Amino acid sequence: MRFISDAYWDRGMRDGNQDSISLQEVRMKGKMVVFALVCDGIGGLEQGEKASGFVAEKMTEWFYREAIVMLKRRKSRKKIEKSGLRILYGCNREMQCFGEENGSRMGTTVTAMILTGRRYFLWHSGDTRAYRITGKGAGGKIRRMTTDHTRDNVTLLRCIGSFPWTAPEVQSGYLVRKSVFLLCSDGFRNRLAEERIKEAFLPETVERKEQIYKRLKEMTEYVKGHGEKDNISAVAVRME
Amino acid sequence: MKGMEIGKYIFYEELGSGGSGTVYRVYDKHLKCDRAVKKFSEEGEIWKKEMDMLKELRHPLLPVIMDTIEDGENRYLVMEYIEGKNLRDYVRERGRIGQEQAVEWVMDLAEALIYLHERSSPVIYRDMKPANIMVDQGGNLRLIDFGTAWMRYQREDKAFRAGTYGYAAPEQLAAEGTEDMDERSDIYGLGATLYYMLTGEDPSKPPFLIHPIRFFDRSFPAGLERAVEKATAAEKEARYGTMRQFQAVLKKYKKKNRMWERAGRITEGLYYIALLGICICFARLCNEPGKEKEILFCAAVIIGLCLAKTAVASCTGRNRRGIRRERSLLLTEKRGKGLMILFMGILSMAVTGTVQASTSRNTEHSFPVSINREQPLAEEENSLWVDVRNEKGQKLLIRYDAVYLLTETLKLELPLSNFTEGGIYRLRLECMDCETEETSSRTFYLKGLEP
Repeated sequence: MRFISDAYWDRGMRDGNQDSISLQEVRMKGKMVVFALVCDGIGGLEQGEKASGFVAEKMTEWFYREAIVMLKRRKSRKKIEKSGLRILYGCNREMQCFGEENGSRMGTTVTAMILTGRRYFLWHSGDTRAYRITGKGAGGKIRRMTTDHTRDNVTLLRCIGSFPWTAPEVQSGYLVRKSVFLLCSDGFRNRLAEERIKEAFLPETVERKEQIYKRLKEMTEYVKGHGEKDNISAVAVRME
Repeated sequence: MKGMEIGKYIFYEELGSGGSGTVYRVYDKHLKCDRAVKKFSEEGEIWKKEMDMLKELRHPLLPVIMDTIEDGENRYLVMEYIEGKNLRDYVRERGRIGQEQAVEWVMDLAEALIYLHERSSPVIYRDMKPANIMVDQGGNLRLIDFGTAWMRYQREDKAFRAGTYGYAAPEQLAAEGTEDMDERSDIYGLGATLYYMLTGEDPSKPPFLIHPIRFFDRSFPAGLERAVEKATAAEKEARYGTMRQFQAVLKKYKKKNRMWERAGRITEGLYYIALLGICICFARLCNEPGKEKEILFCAAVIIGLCLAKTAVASCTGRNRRGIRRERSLLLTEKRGKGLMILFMGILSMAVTGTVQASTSRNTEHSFPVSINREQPLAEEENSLWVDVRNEKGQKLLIRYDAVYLLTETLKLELPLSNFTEGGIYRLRLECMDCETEETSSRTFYLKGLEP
């Protein structure tokens, strides 16, 4: 299966960007494997960009060191899911220790996906989202794959950071041909109707990665124009 | 400083700046030639230390000190000027370096480091990275910037954390101190530099990883891949013991050795032929009665071969065969690697006092507007929603059990959804010091909008 992917990362109206994204494409035995991640550092706490950057860095490292080898060895779905959870638990633990030593608190939301030839794996904690867009024209569908771990859309109930461990949501499943996956931070989707995201990323309309980048950029400009002040980050992966 | 004249030197170009100072290209009026002058940014003894160290060093790859200048409070070190560019820019412009050239250069650098390590008072260079290596016009290397070099057994030369993320060994950046640094720290830096030359990937940039080199080019020998991995092992005990050992290993790969590659492929082919043959035998024997012993033997051989292949693959790192990186994008504003980075360490130490003070104050005060409490509320009590915002008006989207630090103004915002139309409410904000039980409060009367 062939993948086309690209990402967009924008500071928005903020002074700094507390979001972190990772997009890795690897060819394994002639087949492509894609790792996509979006982390949104918690702005209310200190060092939000460090928390998101740290998790992005660790997860990327894990992808190269463990996940690829496990996929190559055809390890079971459960083992791969657990391995991802273990690394997130490690991040949480490390941030907790750091917080205790330094008297500071930090945290980040995370949505990470691995897309292989047949399957996908997803780890999610917080209010970043993953969407799947399938179908053609008017019959196109958009499905939100993640639930927002928030109360009343404001208080974050789960995150990775210097807090007690709350297990992230883990999913896996089979890929449907000609579909698009979109991972985005809350800044990207807050002022954007799901219908609009669907229209922009209908699989049949996405053929090159430049198109993905252009559309992500256009949508970012749109949400900024509608008063979004948060950092805006998104990664989109289209499969043939 | 452009155009400035100090003594016989005219400053006319800034070549670069680092942690310890800025380097300028100057013109020597008397000798009518160019020189490099390092102006030290800090007052203190760093310049003296670097001067004392450099004046004793005599090696073709190390800089030669020409003169020192003291101009008021400023200290300058005059060195020979090397016409060329640093290795980082060289690789950026020309792309990755071929195996033969890269190994040869690393062996030259290893020679210079052996000279430093094996002196009567050993020097640990500590900042081996492409930006500190100059490539002159003849293609020869020169090591520059001894600002972080450390004389190992001199008590007065106290070690401090130094190095560049990605190229510095983990023990160099450890928070506990740098007492256990030795020549193996330089082996890490040299291994990372070799990795950069061979792959063109900068380990000091996200995602800060040193992948197996055959991840980028399958034509590299597996032995060279192991050598780079061993040199850049996180545990210093897992690295080469001395620079000489590393140099000896690299000698084998000075020229591409395709013989071993071919031998490996032939062995692998033979393995699969043998496995296939035994599987065919096994299938035939299964149809013949009275051959239980032979069937068992065949089954044992098949299992044995599979186990042996797995063991060999895990030992030689061949699990990564057939894996090639196509694209890597990691965008973050976080600087450096990991959490315990130098910058953050210093920063957090600076703010710890403030934060701890505010945390302790924070825990001692409680807001009865208990909207974000972990404990379930009594059944008859409804929760009142309060948004918490910072000075800039950003919503503090934090967990329900988070402690709000009083380092800046906190704004409590009551959404209208809390109130019914036309209703009159009394809002009591109470703050209690848990230690003294001293309470301060304020009551507000609120009226909901008329329908």
